[in-house]
Amino acid sequence: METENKTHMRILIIVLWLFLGLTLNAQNCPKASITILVIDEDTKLPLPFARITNTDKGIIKKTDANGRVLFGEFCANSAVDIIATHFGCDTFRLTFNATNDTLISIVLAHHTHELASTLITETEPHNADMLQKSVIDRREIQKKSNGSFSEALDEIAGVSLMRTGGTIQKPVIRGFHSNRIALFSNLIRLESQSWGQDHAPEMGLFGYQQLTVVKGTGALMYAADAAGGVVIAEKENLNFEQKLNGNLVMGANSNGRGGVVGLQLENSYKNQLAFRANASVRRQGNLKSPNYYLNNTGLSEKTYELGVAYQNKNKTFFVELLNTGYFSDFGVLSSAHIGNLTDLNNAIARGEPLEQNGFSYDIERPKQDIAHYLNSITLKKLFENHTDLSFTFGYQYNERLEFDKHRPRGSDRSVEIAEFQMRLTSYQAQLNYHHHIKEKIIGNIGISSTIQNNRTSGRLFLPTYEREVYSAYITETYQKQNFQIEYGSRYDWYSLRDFEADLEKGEQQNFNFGGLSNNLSLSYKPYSWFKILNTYGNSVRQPGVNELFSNGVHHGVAAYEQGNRDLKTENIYQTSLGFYYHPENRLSVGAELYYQYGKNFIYLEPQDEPILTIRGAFPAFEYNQADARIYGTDLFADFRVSKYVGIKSSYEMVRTRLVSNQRFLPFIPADGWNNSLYFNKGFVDKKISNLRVSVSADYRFQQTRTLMDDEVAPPPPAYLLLNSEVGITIKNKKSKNEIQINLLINNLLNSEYRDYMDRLRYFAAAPGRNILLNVNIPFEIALQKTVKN
Amino acid sequence: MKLKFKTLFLATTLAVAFGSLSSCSKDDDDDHDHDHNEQELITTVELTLVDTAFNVSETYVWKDEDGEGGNAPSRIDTLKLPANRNLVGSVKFYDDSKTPREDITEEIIEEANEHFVGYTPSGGLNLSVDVTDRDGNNLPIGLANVFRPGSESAGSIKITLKHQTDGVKDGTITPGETDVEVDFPVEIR
Repeated sequence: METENKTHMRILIIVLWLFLGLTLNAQNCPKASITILVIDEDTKLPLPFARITNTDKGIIKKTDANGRVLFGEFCANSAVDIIATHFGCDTFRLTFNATNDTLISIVLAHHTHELASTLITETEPHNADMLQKSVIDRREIQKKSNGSFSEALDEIAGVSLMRTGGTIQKPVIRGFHSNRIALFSNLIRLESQSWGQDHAPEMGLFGYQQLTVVKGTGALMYAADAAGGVVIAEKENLNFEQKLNGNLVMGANSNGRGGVVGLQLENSYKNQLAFRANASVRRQGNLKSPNYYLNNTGLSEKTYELGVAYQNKNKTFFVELLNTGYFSDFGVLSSAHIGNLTDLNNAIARGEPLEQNGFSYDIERPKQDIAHYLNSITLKKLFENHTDLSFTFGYQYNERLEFDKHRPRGSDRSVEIAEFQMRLTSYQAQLNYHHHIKEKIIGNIGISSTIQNNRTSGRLFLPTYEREVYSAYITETYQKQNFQIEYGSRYDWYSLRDFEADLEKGEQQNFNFGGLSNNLSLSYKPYSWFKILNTYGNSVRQPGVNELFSNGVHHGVAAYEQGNRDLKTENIYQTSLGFYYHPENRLSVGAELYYQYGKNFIYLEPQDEPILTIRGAFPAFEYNQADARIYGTDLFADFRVSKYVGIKSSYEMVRTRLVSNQRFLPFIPADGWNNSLYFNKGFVDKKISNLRVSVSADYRFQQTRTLMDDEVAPPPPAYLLLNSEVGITIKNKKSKNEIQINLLINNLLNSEYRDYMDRLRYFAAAPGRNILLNVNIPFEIALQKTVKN
Repeated sequence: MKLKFKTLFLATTLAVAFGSLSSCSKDDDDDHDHDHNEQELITTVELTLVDTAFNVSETYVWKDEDGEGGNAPSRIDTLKLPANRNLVGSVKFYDDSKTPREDITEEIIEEANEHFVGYTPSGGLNLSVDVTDRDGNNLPIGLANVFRPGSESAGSIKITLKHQTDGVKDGTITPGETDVEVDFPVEIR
């Protein structure tokens, strides 16, 4: 063997941070957990920091100090492709069919062109690592192509949706939403008007390969104020090795007569430059609840992305430029835009919308028009000791226009004027050092800052303001045999300036907040079939702009909302305990219990006296803070009846109380119980390589834990929804590409129901049966090269 | 080859950078003021009642100068009506946040098919109100009316302006979106 070639192994990790995590995979199929061990052929010792990639699920991980990595869960009996990168120059590919949990050992040689490998298969028990992390992989995202970003997240246990009718959704994680959830596109936090309950995330689903919900220590690298969790939407890394290739997504759905088309093209040049361009369009007309059309519930969503990346020859330096755009028009159920409480009570008494004009693709008033641009540059330098330094700069522009049902009085009829306009400009910078101490302690340390200004015009609700955030963080992981410990801290300092403060009245104009958030997570796995996870932490959050400044009427709910300029920072102390039991491959059971004590928890408090306006009297709510308890549990079980058939069940519950007067917090999801029966079979050497069929029954209980004083109408009754899906994978013989076809039927029985977390439940029933079909076709384009003599 | 590589890199970088810039250009205005003036509010309701027998008229005002939200209403007049008399009434809506004041009533007349003004006396008040004007579909509008106070009593009258688009107008107060809903205290003597 050529010993002189014993160079340091340089591995490029593009924009991915190592999170060891418990993956709660949402896919319905018998699972095989794959662990990979990489061994250095020369020394016969485990090789740390080897990069393992699976393009199908979009997983990129690197081996730990012991040369191991829990790579992820795959459907048993289906082909899995992995690529191991070593030295930075060559790649090693391997395809295998895992039937059980498997440990795969790859022996890599040092020298560049002699890669040898051996495949050893042995049964490895569920090696679920610590840290609360849940993933929606690419196949799941493809399945959800017809839907919104939030709808894809709904697959994760503990995540539910807050809706504004059938078109606008946002995620709720363990009872927390809006200001208490942070959304990231790769490394950039989505800076938008996320405070609004009817403000959907300004992101499309197309182009993302993985959605991850991170809580605890791992989340502190991203944000501290997100007690609910950090949602990271990852785009595929720009690939420097593949030739011109693309991906086409097409979908259609019956309810709303909607469709989606997305196309992505990628290319690379000389293994040093990589390019990507993609665009998608999603369109849908009026939705239909079982008995009537929902007037003005159409939507239009368009996205695009342009990306270019460069890496140097020895792959130690990397630059990426991204420019993405998101544009959406959401129609809001026309009968839901009301003037005052009398109108609301009339609507509730009516039971169904007064305006039922049948089907239409037109999006009329009331509606929301949103544009969001995100531009970023990432620079990354890899060092020989396997550490790396990265710098990210982002610029975002968010424009939100809200149109009331009627054109503003006195306005020029030929011009569409939005009654409420907000324009938010944000600049972000982050410097991160991914490091290790003797390959035993691995972590990230960094600083970040955000400067933004929001200009509002139109209806009085929020002022024009400027906001600055400066943060510093550290997160570290240490693993030894069956014990793992993680620790993280983050300090945030905020400054906020209200340009419309009434200085004559003595209103405060400048606000400063600061706080230290911490997290400690411990995982202990005494036996191969049992693991305990214990976490402790706190999450400091500054009051949101709506909580401080809002002043006005919320038209959908006929409530007068008033901010509170005296609010202080909120500090949520959290602890959780998880048990994971996996006695044999046929059974896997988990229970996660959590308890959170919100010190100065900010909530909307109903006021005794209504507010009198020229539009009538409105029930008044004011933001206030008090200590609150939020606790609950997520339970899940997966039992494989036979080789191909299994049953899955999960249960989620959240309980809340204010400490002082034992009142329930408003707008908390009721308990949910999801069950599914699935069939999953892989075929070797057949055109169809995988067939998946499942039927699920989702039961949502009635929310009984509310104060009737806070509710204009009683919470809707419990409901049961049946859904079914069929998915097939077709293997293309020429290339390794897999075509995915999915047929889904949501609300199979066309049941009429209303959900407590739907803000439009007062006005109309939720949409009825929806049949969705989508196809995902990856392809390669062979370019003819003309050779000049 | 080297040159081609550099050109390609430069070209793509410029393309992405240009894309980024085009999205920034909308935001070059450093204005920190909240611009509320581009749309009209209804701030004022004026009810004029004419006692035709004596040709005396009285105007009553309900005023919330900054519209809904912000400050509380600044003026709410009490209707002092003579018992057992018929009074010819008219109601007008204004935007007093502008100078000069804007008359919103004109727009309501233009879109009479989509508007309705309703009058709801409180219980115990001996007052009835008849609407006397009609829109193109022969449905009541409510800008012109007759107030018929009965015997001595006290209470309040609720005046509601409804915006009833999409053909939902049916001559009643129920459908549509409420633009104005004010209560005037009433004393009949």
